[in-house]
Amino acid sequence: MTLTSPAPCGTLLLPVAGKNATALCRDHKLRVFALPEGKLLRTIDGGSARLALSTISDDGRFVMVSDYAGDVSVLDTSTGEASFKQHINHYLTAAAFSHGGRLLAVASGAERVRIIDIASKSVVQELEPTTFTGAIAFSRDDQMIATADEKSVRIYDVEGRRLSRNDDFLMSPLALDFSADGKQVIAGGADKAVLFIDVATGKTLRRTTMPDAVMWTGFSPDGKNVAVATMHADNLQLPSPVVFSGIASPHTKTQWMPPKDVVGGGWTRDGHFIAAIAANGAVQLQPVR
Amino acid sequence: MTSALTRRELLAKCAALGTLTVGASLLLPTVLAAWEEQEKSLKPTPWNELGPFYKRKAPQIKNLRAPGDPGLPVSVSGRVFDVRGDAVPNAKVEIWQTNHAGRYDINGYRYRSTLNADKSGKYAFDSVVPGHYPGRVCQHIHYLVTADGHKPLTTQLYFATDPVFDGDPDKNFTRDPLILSRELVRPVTITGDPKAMLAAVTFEIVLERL
Repeated sequence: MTLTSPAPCGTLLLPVAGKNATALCRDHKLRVFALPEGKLLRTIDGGSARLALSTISDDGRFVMVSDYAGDVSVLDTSTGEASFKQHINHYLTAAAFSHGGRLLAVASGAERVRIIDIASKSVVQELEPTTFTGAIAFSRDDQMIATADEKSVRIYDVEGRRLSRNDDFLMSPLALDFSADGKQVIAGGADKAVLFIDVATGKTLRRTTMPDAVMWTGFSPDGKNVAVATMHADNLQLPSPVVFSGIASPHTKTQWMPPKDVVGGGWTRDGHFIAAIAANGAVQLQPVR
Repeated sequence: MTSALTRRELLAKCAALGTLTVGASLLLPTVLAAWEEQEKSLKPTPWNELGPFYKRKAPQIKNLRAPGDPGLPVSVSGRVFDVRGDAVPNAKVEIWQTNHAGRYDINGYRYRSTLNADKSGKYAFDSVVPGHYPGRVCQHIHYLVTADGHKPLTTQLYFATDPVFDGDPDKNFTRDPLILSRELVRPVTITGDPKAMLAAVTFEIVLERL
């Protein structure tokens, strides 16, 4: 499938199960595409500030965009209307929607991670202070949240009580996800490895080496497989492999080496892994597993 | 012999000696707290993000530059203060950077150090001017500064001589979207002859109290 945009797209956000994908384009506009047709539905002006971070809800209904000036917006992709707007002191370094789409967790600067109820626009929880937060993930049932700071993975319940903590990283963890049953968290960073962490105790259950630094990781919707996207640590602009492995046989790994211009990707609800590849001013969606 | 009284102790002593008189409707601690608040003279050093390549347990070395390392040698020094301008003794200053070619060592600890500021808050290290990391715009050195009783600070030091600024960092510092404050771009002093140049940068750190 090909998504055609009037301006080149820097990032494409694919929802796990929704019908709307969003693209952050180099003209500072956000474009919403209908899936699976690939039709451009609407264009939303993102303002003049450069965008720092964005994330999309599982159902594709909401997309969060934040810029380097500290403005954060949650937009309804079906109407283009902002359902939430806030200005913060620093730009966001991590954000995640809850899987049900009701909550948004955000981290900025050295501020505490805040959990926001989107409908009421209110902060419902603040987590303990850390120096920096580089990744956030909700459990599938939205009852737990994991954060990655400069040296630890911390796991909380949604009331903000810390359940466990893992300090087995030398370099900052940068990517996180909960297993489908919520019993494990997978986390990785520039240590060139992912750790499978026991949620109850925080202990490392297994360590799997990776070909390079880890920038994203996610369990498949059925929980049987895990994908780990690496980054070329010497040059972020060069491609680096995506590694797939089965939970039952973690040492059996397959790799996919993307072309240079991958602008997004992720699992779909039916268990495929889709990569978004920029080519000739358009974005091609290509199943790679 | 010099006195090491804090401002609060000095004011309290003045009050005790009768050289500072407090109105009947005010309590001395209230006056001292208000005075101290007004005495705040330094802005906290602006935050800048940690980046993906922080590594714990870096060695305590002051010379990051090995003999024969290519690149322009640079000496970086400064002091760690709190917002009232008092030195923060024994702060831990962790720094990391790329080599002259713009590469981080993620397998080892080259161009990484854990420095301990002295009792007067002074720290210093010798290195090379970092190269441009692909994907980032400007040359930079990362800092993570921690001290008891103070908020941890992550920030980055930038160089006014960076070619990205075209000689005008006042105007062009926003070419790197991560530089949200001009004050993180520090002047560079070059000394020596053309075959043996040395750069020097001063970077003062101001921490907020908890």
